[in-house]
Amino acid sequence: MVRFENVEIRYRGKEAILTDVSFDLGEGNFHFLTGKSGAGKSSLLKAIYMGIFPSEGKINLFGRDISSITKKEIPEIRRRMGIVFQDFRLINNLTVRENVALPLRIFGTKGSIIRRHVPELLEWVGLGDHLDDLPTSLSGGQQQRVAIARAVIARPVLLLADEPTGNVDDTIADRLLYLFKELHRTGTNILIATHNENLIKKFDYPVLRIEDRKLLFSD
Amino acid sequence: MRIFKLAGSNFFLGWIMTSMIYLALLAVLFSTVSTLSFDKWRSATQDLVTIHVPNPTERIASDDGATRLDETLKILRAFPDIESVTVLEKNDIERLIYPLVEKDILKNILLPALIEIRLNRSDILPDLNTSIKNLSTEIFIDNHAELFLPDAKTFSGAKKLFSVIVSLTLFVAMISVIFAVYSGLAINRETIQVVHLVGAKNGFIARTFQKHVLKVLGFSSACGTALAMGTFFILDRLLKVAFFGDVEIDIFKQINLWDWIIFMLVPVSYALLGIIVAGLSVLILLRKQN
Repeated sequence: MVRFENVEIRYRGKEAILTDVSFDLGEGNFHFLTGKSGAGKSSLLKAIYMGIFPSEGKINLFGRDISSITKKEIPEIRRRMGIVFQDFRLINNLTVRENVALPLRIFGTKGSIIRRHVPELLEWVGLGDHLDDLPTSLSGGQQQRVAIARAVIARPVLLLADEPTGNVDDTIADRLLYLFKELHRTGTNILIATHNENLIKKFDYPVLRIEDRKLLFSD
Repeated sequence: MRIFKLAGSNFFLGWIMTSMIYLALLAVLFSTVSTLSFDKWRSATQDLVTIHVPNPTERIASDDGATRLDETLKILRAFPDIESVTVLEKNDIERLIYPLVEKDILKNILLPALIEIRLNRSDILPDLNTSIKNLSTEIFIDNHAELFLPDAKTFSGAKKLFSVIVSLTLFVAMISVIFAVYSGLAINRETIQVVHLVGAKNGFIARTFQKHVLKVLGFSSACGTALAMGTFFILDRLLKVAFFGDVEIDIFKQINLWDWIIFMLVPVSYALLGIIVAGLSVLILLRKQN
């Protein structure tokens, strides 16, 4: 589903962040992506959701080489992904409910389905009482859960999460991980970037580790 | 669901669009009323000529001692393709001249006789002129259509001016829509990025902007139309009372259903064009940004 072949990632005019990265995430995977702060975890995720294109090498997403993908095709591919951003990227003038409903609205889902599913999911992530609140009135942890709910509401094939438990306590972190596990069980492939070693140890999933701009595999 | 923050540009756009629609409606109304008045005036004076007979009572050197006026009438009645011949009464002539000349002066002036004739065909005028000039070179014909020619040019010029005004308002309105879209995209840059990452196509963003623009333009159209109607009403009253006294000038009476339809199409077309321009601007600007 996601295949990197000798990929190099660099921002314009700067030194390469990742070099010679090769890996293959097939169907039914749940991986942690770890590494020190600034190691390039977010950049690797960014390359997967086509926020940045590789300076060298090949990236293959859902059977398509991204260098041959047209601009018009990018949204179609992104629709198969759910992304949890490190800085949440919630839309501050939309309520919690509207933020979570956004992907469904974009995909043209029926209003009745949106009205049923969104409160259910928000209840599940512990924000049932904040449906009509604006993100700015929520704590960092609550905003993170809204971001997660938005990423998973459309049942993506691939979920990319950048430090999804960075702003929540251990109890909520465990709960979110169980949500991811549940999603994985129902067929969503998951790649979580985190530097929370405790979490990695607690949930026994394969780990992709970035060290010295290279990607290493460890179990 | 207000995904984008557009309150600032909406306020700006709302005011501009209201003003432009108001101006356009005024221009359309003035154009319509002046065209209708012109047509009415032209149809009333078509094929109408006035013959001036100076010294009408002067005897012509003939056997029966007929006057110059009698001889002129004799020619006119014998002439083919003349529909009607009306000799204006002295009172009518005085009433025509009165605003220009004092009544006392009129007593001392020997007024010419005026004969108003309506022709079936206007191409007989040269022959008619020759026949009358044979009688006396002092008698002459006033062709109303010819007299009306400079006024026709003025009306035509005014109509063009109103068209230019409408075009300019439309231009300003559409530029404002583009500007509002441009600033809206700049302000919502981060949100647009998120929406793109969630999987939205440019078309979704364009439609969202169009919905915003539709709301603003709908409101502006209603306000602009209401203001224009208010202005027409005031003008109608002013024209009736202040300027023309007992002469009936009724703007609303002159405008028929078809004119009203054209009139109402102005705000509707501004709104529709605005939506199309907004959508296209979003698509073009996003394509440039990507």
